[in-house]
Amino acid sequence: MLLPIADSKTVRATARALIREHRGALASVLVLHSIAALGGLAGPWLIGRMIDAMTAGTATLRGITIAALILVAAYTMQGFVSRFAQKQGMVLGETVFAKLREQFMATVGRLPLSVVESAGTGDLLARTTNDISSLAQTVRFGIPRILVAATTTVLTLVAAFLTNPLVTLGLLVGVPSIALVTRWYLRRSGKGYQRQLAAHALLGGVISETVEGARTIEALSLAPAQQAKIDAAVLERRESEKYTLNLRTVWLPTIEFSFLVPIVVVIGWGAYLVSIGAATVGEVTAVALYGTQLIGPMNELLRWMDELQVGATALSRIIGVADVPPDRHPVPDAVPADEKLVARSVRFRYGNDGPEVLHGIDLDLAVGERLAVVGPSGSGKSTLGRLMAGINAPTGGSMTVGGVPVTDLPLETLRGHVALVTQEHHVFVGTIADNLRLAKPGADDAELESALAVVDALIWVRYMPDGLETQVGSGGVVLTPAQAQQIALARLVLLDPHTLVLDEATSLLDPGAARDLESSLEKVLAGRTVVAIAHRLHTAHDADRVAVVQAGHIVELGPHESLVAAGGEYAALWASWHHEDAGHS
Amino acid sequence: MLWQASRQKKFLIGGILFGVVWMLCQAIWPYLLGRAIDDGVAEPSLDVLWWCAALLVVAIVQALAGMLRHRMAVKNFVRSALRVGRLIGHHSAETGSAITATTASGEIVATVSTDALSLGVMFDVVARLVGGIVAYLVVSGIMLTTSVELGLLVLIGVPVLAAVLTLLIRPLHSRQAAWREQTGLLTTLGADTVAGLRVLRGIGGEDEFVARYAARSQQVKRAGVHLAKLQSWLDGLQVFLPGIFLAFIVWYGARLVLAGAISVGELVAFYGYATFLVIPLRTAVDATQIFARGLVATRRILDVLRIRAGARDVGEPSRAPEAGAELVDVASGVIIEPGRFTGLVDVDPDAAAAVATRLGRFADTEHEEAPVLWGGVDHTTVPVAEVRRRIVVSDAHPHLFQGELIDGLDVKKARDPAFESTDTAQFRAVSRALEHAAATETIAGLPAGVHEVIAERGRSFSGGQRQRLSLARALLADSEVLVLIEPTSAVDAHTEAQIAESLREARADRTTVVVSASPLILDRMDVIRVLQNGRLVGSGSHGELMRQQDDVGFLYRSVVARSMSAAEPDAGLDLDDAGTGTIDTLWQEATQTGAISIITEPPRDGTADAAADR
Repeated sequence: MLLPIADSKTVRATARALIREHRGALASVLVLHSIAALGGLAGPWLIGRMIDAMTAGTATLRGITIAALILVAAYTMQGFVSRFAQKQGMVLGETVFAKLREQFMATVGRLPLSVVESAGTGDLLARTTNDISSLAQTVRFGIPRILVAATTTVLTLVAAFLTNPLVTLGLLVGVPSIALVTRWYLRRSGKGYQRQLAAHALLGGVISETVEGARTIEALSLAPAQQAKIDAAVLERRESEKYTLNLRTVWLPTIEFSFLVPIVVVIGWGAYLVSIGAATVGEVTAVALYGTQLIGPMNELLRWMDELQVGATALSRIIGVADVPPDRHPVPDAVPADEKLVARSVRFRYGNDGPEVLHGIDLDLAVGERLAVVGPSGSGKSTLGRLMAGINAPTGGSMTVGGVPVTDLPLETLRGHVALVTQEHHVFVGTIADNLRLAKPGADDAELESALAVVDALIWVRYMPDGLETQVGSGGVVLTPAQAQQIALARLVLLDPHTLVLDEATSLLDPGAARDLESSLEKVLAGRTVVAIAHRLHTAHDADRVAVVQAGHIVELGPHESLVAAGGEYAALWASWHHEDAGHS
Repeated sequence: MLWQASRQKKFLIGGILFGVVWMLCQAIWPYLLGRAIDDGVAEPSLDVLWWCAALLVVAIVQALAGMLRHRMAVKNFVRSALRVGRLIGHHSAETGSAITATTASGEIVATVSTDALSLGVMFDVVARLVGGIVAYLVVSGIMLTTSVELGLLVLIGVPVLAAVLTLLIRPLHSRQAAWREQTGLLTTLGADTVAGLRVLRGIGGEDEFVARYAARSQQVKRAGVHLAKLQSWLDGLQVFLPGIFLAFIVWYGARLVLAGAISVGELVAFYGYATFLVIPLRTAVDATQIFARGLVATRRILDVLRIRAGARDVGEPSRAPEAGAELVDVASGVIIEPGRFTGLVDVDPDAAAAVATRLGRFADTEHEEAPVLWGGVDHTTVPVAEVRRRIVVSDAHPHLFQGELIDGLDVKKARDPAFESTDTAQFRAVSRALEHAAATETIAGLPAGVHEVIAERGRSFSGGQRQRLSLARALLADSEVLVLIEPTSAVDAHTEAQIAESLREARADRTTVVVSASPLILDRMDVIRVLQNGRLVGSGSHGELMRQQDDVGFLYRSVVARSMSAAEPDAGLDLDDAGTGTIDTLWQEATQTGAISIITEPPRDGTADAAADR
């Protein structure tokens, strides 16, 4: 299942909402930048005034000194104010970006359980790392730079108009060609840069797999093949660069030329205006210099357009996560009357038109009993486990605990009743205590230690350099898979649900570790209702009751002995096992 | 680095050349502007048109030179970055395990992604810097001819300003580093939370993790703000200092105009020069930073490139033994008989794996202490290529690689360029190997089957699937000796049984060594070498060892029993079958013998009723 990506309308709405939310800060940054930009406008204006005074012969040494002092004051002011404007702009960028990523993570933390179980983590991980960091570029640097460039551009044009509107008309000749070529460019560049990014990621992936798999490459003499693959990735990276470079080969000189031509036009057109007395030499000079000063900010503004596109794509993937619909609508005051898990004609299909995998399951779990669910691969036994644990809601019939449908319980309550135990064990970055307190936030050290003692993990935890406070996870002490699984089991002890659904809990472990774990697991199971999705027959043998699931039906249900005596499917299975024993020994 | 520079001389020189032209255009622009104002605007005449035409020509040349410079810069950048990436990639492929033994793989990947880029940026900035310096000299020259004082002022003032700004950048680095570190921690935390999301949503703690992320995020923000405070001062200074410089030039120039020493147009030109000089100034400031980073990057790249392969040919190689030679690992005393299946078992699985790995010769230094005799010859004296061709070791965590699956699996072609095969023959061989590795179902699930293009590291497959595909690949290598280390550690017992069965068929009469503690696998071995801490203590078949009433038998059973459940039937009695008690196997057998009737799943389409009638 793929996670949604927000459409461009939502992205625009989000951007607008962000602007609204920060309009105060935004306005103050704009005002500061405007003031700072004014300082930068003094130069051409003063030069123009001086030239006019000189051509009129009214210039004095004192006047020049005053003008120079004004210029010094203007630059000092610009430098000083722009410092505060820049700072505020950057702080705004940091604030907005921090908020975006925190909101994103909050959404991720609330993702529906069924989605988390089926979507896999790859896509989400990419959004957490790649997309967040490519958005950082846009928000942290883009916002402040765009604000400066935009205010400077606008104010420079205004200053030019105030100096002499007629002359300034000449500055506008570049606008059409800039607009047209930029439009042409932006239409193509987005795709071009996406291909470039993909090529870059491919190359990075191939090189890192080469480094990580160096051993395999050496052992199987795969170096030539792998080198050929690297060369192909390098070639693709270069080809993708060629495309965008060709785009820029058209775009860059056109805009550069379009920046310069207006200045030439201002001179020619200004000379004519001076000759008819509609402008002074100083005014023409000032406007021409303003035209020169426009190049920098305009360039910056146009260049950020590309980055904005990249940022918008990242943003659409980040806010898209919020579009995942909730998978349950908990009834807040639903209180289970007891600890009995009951299935009534439970049916289930994945998606709206997927094949039905469970066709009417009826099952009553007695409190404290052990039920083994056996059946061939694909019979629906794992799905049944997921329904019992409240991960998915049945598409027909009901799955209830104490009379309340399991998916009607808020997740926090549900966990206290039923928990699913899989072979997946993730050790979080943090201390061992952090890893345990997930299950019971308020637990004190004594509680943690007794939970560890239950799963036989207290001894090795005490031997760790800092005991409970030892840093584990990536960058910390590396736990063995068995230790990680024990931590997971200790969490269950702290969580203390009355019913556990075990699915392949120990099947993927290192065979050497399985035995130790099985005794830890046994202690966790004590006193609880247990549903074991069994992969080995002995599990079934030890259970109070056995449910045989075949093609989405429970075909047999009862204690081991009576099923064996009944002579059905289970008996046949059991017999074949024993028969095999006899055959070999 | 110089070598790299020489490889792209054309682009480097081109970049410098166009950079100079581009900068000169910008430098000459104020001069022409000044002349136009003097000759055309101040004293209206048609001369202005000539000056305008000249300005237009410069504008065209500038735009074109700018474009060409950009092209050269990008080529410089991309070439050097990609070449370094390629070099490191090739080097890693050739060096093999030595590369990960000495450096963390993450570091090498970082070297490729950031250091290679730093190097690329360095080549790019060289071209810009040279252009900037030339332009600066030309501008100073023009100013010197107009006014010696102003010329000197620019000639000295610009480098001084550059130096001051460069010094100011220093403290910025530490704050940038702090910010980067905080960001790295935040990304790790985010990735960690997402990776463990199933646990968090299933057990709880998501709120706490979201809060932890938010707290860290605020820390990053604070580091960012801390950085912004200094950065903004620097930005302000970059406006202020050149501004003061500019004001001084205007003041001095205007006085010269008043004194009649220069014209109004020349004053405008001076103003233009002074604003233009900000560009080479910035380039110079950038360049110092980029060079500092580039040199560090170069050092790191060279560090990686200096790592040499663990197994290298000796001066006078011995002749490889004839096919069917016996392998003897001297340190452990293990003998691998040709043409037979040998199991290696040790209480410490790593010790058994170490013995198996030695057979493949990966680190010559290790063999000084622990030689391996191959048909009586020390195998470190045989050419490496010969060892690799005939002895293949598939380690406990083999990697899959990006690309079309069939090419990734059928390594024969990659290993032996002379090997030729038709498509059908290849397809048949691959299918057979997949069947032997119990991976046929995995392939059936792919839209394009064996022609599917898989992602890097084969990350779309589960651990068990990867392991089976790697096994198929190892079988396809079709080597004289195949060493498999824990080939079934990530698959369920049913599949393991299947693999154990088909392995014998796939490697019939050829030398095969398997490190495993699984009774399913060991039962299929001709002989098992029992080791204790890497030393041979006994040998025998699985059946013999299971019954053997001595220390070796006890040791063997203790290892093998660990891989079976505590609740299995009593050890020692019928352990031969203990591991086969998986329901899937039993179920299959039972249905085959007719002991259990099969309820078929109703078909997906609308024929469910018809199926029910049947």
